[in-house]
Amino acid sequence: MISKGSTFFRSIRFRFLAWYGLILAATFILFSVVLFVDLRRTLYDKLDDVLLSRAEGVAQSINTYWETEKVEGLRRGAKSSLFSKINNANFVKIANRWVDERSDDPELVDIMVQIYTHEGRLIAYSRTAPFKVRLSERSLERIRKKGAVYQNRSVKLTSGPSQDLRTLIYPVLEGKAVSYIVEVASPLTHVSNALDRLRFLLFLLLPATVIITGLLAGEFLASITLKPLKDMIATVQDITAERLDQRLHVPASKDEIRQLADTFNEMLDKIAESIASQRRFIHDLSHEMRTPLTILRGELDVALKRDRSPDQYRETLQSNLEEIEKISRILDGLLVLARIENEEQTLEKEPCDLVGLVRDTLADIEVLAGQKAIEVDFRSEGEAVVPVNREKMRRVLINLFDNAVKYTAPGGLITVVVSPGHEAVDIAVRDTGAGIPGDELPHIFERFYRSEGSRNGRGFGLGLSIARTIVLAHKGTITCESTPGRGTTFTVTLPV
Amino acid sequence: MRILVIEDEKKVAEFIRRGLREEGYAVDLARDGDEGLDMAEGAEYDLVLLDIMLPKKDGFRVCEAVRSKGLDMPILMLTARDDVKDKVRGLDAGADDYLTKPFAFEELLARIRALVRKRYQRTDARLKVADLVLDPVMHRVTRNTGEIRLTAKEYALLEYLMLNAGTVVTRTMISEHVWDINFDTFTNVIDVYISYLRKKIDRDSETRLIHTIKGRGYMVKEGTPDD
Repeated sequence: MISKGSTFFRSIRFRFLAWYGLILAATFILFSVVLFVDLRRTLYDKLDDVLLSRAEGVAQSINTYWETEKVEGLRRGAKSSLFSKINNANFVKIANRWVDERSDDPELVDIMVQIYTHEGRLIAYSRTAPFKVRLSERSLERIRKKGAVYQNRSVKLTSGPSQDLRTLIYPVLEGKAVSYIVEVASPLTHVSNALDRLRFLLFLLLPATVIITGLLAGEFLASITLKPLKDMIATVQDITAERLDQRLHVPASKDEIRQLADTFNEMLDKIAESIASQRRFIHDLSHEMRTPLTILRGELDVALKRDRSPDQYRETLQSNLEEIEKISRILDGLLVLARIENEEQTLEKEPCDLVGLVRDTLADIEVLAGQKAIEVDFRSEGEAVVPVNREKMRRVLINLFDNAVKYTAPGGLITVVVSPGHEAVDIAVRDTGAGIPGDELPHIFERFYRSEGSRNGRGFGLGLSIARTIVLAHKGTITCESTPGRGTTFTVTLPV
Repeated sequence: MRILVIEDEKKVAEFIRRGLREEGYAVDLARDGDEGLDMAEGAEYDLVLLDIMLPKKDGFRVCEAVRSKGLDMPILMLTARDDVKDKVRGLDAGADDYLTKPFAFEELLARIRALVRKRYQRTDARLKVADLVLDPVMHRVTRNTGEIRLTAKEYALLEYLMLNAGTVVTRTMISEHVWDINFDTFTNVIDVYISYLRKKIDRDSETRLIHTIKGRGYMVKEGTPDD
């Protein structure tokens, strides 16, 4: 598949794969980042909720202890003002008692609790408590500003590596003042484990999977997309000048591949037509040249075999000259034909008065007809101005008139009628000649076709072929009707 | 040696006829397939030169028709076409050889000689009877006494006699193969030519080779004929 590295990197397949991979990777990276960020926030939110509820629970619980102590104290007659939690040694005791009694509560598994005074002095802590120091001024400052503060903190444990913790510093209010501060902390192990796993999945496993499956899928998609192209390339490689009949398979779909195939096939048609035309030219030329060349060569060979009289040499040379002239005329005719065929697309046309053109051309022909005592009758059934190439159309008319004169016996009649219609103009040339047998009619417009009757006469069978080519180049038609013994009618129909 | 040329192109037929006549062949012309077939059937030809593109009946059909009538003279196809397909078709139709136009006249002559040679089942191009040797390529006739100069007609007559050496050749056969026209009533023309040949060939030599078979014709043979 990949024969040469350099061609592969320049191939559509490679670009397809590269772009496909790039887009796929970008999409998945975006997705992964969003998923990761969102999940981390969700996990932290959940943990924070737990921490908050635990902190509230702890505060409530301590407050309950305190209230019980307060009720008892009041009963003992203590002054109510003594029961402010702020800076109260009793409260410290209560807090410690709460810790002793309640920190084993199942609700508080994995939750570490530390209790501070409003100034941040540590007054009680659970056994698992990590910090055991007073709160920093910064933390106190933040509490004063925002209330509860969540933090990620890393703590060095006595045994083992450092542990990441999520902490909530939660001020408990008495009236409007902070009475004491509860700090709860939970290890981040679960969260960070989950996030680590997710990170591993998203940023290592997923890309690997995406890249592998992406490459495979991309390759697969590229193959599907490129298969018609590859097939085309294979077919096109098979096409040579000798095998121009090959055509691309046109897929049933109406996509770009089909357009390409159609366009390419159309181009092939044009090339094939052009090459066929050239081949025809060469074939016709070589074929038509053979007879005069055979005569030239044969007569010279025979003449040179022995000494001859000047008259015999003169006769041979005269005959050779005739053949050479014949060759020139064949060449001229074929060149005219080839030129018209090539000009078909670029034929210059201008509005032309056909009646006038026919009359002018007939004037020349009437001289020829007069020599054979052939009468020429011309009539038109109205004005006919048609866009044609004047020179070329004149040639068509000359060829038709010349033919008519050639095949009409002395004393005959040639009738030319121009009849304009709504969409087309007909020019009919009728003669009273020998006519053309039915089996020859389909061939008379072929190059070099000479009917049995005309074979040994003058002409090379190019006149009608040239006429037809010119008429076709005008998008017109030329037809022939003939009754042997009665005469022949050629009709040229030109679109207006 | 009588050759039928079936060719519709007038000038081609004309130079072939002139060239072959000058070589001493008797040549008849036919202008289309039907005429050619009629003529091939009507007279005994030693070879037919046949064009393919012919009016009325093309060369292939003429060839097939000639063969289907049991005529076995060599047929040399002559045509403007040089497709392998056409050559194969021509040979399959019963032609013996094929020559593409335009051709060198010498090649046409060589092929005609080869076909005639094959017809008389000889491998040597030269004809020999005793010390009389006829070289159809060089148009030379020699005996031990030296080269013998012959006119074209004398040469053609001698060639025909030598091709049929050892068998009786009738005056009718001679008139058909050596002369274009049937000399039926002018058999003395043949006798005159035979006497010319005798003078040139047998006069200076001890052994006479040209014999007259009374009431039947002539024979070229070493020694006296059996009858």
